[in-house]
Amino acid sequence: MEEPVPRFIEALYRASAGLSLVAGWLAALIMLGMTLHILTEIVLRSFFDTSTHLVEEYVGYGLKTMIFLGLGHALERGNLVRVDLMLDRLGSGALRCGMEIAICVTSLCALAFILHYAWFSMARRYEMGTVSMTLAATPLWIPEAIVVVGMVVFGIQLAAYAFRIAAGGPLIDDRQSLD
Amino acid sequence: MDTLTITVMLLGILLALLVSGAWIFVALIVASVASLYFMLDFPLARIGSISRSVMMKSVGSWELAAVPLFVWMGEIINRTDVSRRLFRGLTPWVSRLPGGLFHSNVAGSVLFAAMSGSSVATTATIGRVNVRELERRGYDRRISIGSITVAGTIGIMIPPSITMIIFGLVAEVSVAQLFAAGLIPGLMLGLLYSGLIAVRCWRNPALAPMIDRPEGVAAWLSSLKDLAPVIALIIFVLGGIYAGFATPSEAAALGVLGALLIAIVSGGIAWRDLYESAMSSVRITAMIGSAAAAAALFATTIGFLHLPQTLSAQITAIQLEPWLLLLLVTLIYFLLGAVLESIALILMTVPIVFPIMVTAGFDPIWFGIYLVLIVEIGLVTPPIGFNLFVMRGVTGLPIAEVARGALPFFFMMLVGVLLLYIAPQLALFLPELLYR
Repeated sequence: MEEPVPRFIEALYRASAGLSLVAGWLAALIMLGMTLHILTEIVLRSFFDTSTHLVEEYVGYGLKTMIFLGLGHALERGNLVRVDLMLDRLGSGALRCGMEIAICVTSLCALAFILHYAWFSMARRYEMGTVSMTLAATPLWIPEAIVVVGMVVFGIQLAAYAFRIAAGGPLIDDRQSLD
Repeated sequence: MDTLTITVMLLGILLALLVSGAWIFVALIVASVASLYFMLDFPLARIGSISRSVMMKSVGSWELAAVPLFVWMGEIINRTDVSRRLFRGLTPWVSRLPGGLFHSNVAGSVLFAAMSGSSVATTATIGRVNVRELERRGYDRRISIGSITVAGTIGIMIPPSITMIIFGLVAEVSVAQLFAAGLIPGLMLGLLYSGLIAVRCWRNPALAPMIDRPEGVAAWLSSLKDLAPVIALIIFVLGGIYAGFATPSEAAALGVLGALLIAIVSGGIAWRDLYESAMSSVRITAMIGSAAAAAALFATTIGFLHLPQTLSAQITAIQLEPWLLLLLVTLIYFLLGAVLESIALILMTVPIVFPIMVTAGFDPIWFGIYLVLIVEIGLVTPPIGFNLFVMRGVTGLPIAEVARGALPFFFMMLVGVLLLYIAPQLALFLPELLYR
């Protein structure tokens, strides 16, 4: 476990953590936008007796996109909660690392499955030019594309993490977020 | 296969995945896809398109949007001097009671709970200042730590509450009504914990030393100055929901604004802190949101398997008394709560348990509050009670020591469970008054 991680794997991990961080920034901007949109709506409704008529639709897109954009960053910082009852027992030896890699591979498979169909749906909506049935007539492929981007970033982060463990790198400390 | 076998297998797969350390949403997706494929022989293409549409629909909901904003509000408040403010502001109020400043652990938790949707955040915030201040004044350490560990769980009972939003989403129950229903039980729990402190300190005054009581008008004025922004924010956020002119999501956006105003008024907030608060909220939202999306798929799967209906019918057939059913469900939750994290617990069990309980005649809102209380108990139960870990982080003491301190207060939680069962109006009075 103690040998240094090969430089290119460390570089790969850093690049992927950077990518996750950028996606996280985008998610934070979206969250700010949701807040401002809701506040605007409250002001319009309370004082001007009018509405943007879009708040539920756009806050919905915002939530969905920010969740997936934030996933990679959440993984990298140890915020994705899980039960570490058994993992703790395994210590930090080869068995624990093997388990962690198995979890990453399982997660990648689950992600690939969902991503496959998310991509299909987005591509179909793009080709057919489907728009939302609201005043805004938003092209529906746009929020779906952002979700797909978030999933891809998360997948890259998962893979980079698995490679780094395989090369003897450190495990993510989930407890950090609590202590 | 009969229903019981299916249920046991499904939950078995899920538990095995969770306990082996898979992330919550991965475990839920894998268990769902596997069940649809192996138990119902759905073709993969159909499973894929169901999964995608169910997951995307669930995380695009207006109600769930309250989660990131309430989390953000709490993260901003956390980075202000609110814990110090609460401690100073509550001192003149509590120092006259038997147990003195111990009560600021409970009262501080109750007040902070009304600004935060998380028990972990409540415990950490109150613990950060109070543990040190009480120890410095010679208060008994075990009671101090135990009371914060348990009183911090009120964070998810008094609205806003992330746990209630998640429950409302899965059970399709009004979040605003849940928010109304949690208030009185939350205050009741606070009274139970404070009552225990008062009795113990009255019988053994050595536990809480005499302190200089702040006297005079100046002390009260300075207390009001400390508490005013806190009270204002609480009224700002909860007032809108209770008065019926703001939905929880709108109240959450107002809460972010209010938290920022408080941060600016009470000495300003650095850009760095604002940035950190937003990023932290993004990460927590990604965790909760992904789990909620996967749980929607899990609930759909359970629906395809007809589990809730079949189990309900079977329970009706054996004519299980409602109280016996509740006791059974409670025991199962105690067991699961000892090994599962609270959001995972709600997401994986509510789709099965909730329809059964409603069929058996329990009020949906009441059951939500009851479940929140059971989840709170799970937060302080070893081996993986989150609040124990938080207090380990705050104090540096081993988990076992924290758990020992929490034990007497844990019994008060059980008293709370009993009271809630005997007097359902504790939870139902406010929502009936406001909404029905």
